[in-house]
Amino acid sequence: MIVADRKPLDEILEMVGDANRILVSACNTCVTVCLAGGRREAAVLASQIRIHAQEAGRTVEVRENCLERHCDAEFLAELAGELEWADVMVSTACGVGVNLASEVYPSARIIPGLNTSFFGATDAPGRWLEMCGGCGDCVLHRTGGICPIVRCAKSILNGPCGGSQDGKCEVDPDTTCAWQEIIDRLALQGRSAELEAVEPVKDWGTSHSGGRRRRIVDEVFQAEGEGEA
Amino acid sequence: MLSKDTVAFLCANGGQLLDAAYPEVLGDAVRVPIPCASRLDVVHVLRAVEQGARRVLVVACPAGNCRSMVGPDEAERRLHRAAALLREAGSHAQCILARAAANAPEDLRSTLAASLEDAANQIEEAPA
Repeated sequence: MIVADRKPLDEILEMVGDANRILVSACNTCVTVCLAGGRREAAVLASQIRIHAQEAGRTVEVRENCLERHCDAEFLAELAGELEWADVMVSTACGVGVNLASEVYPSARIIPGLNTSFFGATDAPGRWLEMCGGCGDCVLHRTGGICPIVRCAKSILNGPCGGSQDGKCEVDPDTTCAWQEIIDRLALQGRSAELEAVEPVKDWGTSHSGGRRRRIVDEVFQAEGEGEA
Repeated sequence: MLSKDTVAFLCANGGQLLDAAYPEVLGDAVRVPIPCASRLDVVHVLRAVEQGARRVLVVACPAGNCRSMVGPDEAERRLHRAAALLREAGSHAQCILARAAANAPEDLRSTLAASLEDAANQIEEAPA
């Protein structure tokens, strides 16, 4: 899932400025699971904005809603009426949602309520860990399912580096060296000999370094104008 | 004596029973029954303040006395979180967790007395 953190209230209020009609729009998918921007978190933010306004002697109207997801335009259609009303919308969706909502409603002022952080998994209740860097050229088959791109501080593909001590990373002694984990995992699977193979230099052109990425499924995708009678 | 600007969330297995037997302890506070202190949500506290509460009290069971085992601990964590969110929003509303059994009104009285004294001291210390 996409993991995010809520922005500090001061930062959100600065973006909101002197708007009097504020819509806080939550997303019911990833950011709900990571307790950053779901219905409940949007209710908390909306309440904080109201309380802050009361303390400042201002009158603001804050509405809340929660869309099934913000990353598909058909769900964003629900926002049309609310955006007619609102001076500003605080989105507690991830950055994808803020981008798409801003494309669908280009004249609306839509601001991010979250800092989108990483692709991660739930490690324990209330804790999420980064698992994937979305590099576009997966090597997990070679590393026992442990991503060296995000779990190694140096993103080393032929590790470990010299900073690995007693199985811990030199960047943080509390962090297990990802390559130690890879070595242990491959040993568990009886595949230690595979560690001798050298991973060639990675083509980072498949990652974000190559510019905006897109994915097209030919049998589904219809270019504009195509399929019209 | 508590006034109507206090909202008291009362656990069904402790606080509500205490209040039924000793209603004078909570005075005119607005009572909100909850099945267990662990059901308290951060949003409940914020909404109470939004609607005018200057003090939010949660009456939970003492440690080891909770029918749901961890109710008071859950309530304490959420109340701390709510207090932090209130401070972030610029509110000075007071959040108080009282751990008192249904037959121990003195525990509730002493927690309230200490909290009210703290609040009074904070007001005195606040810059003009």
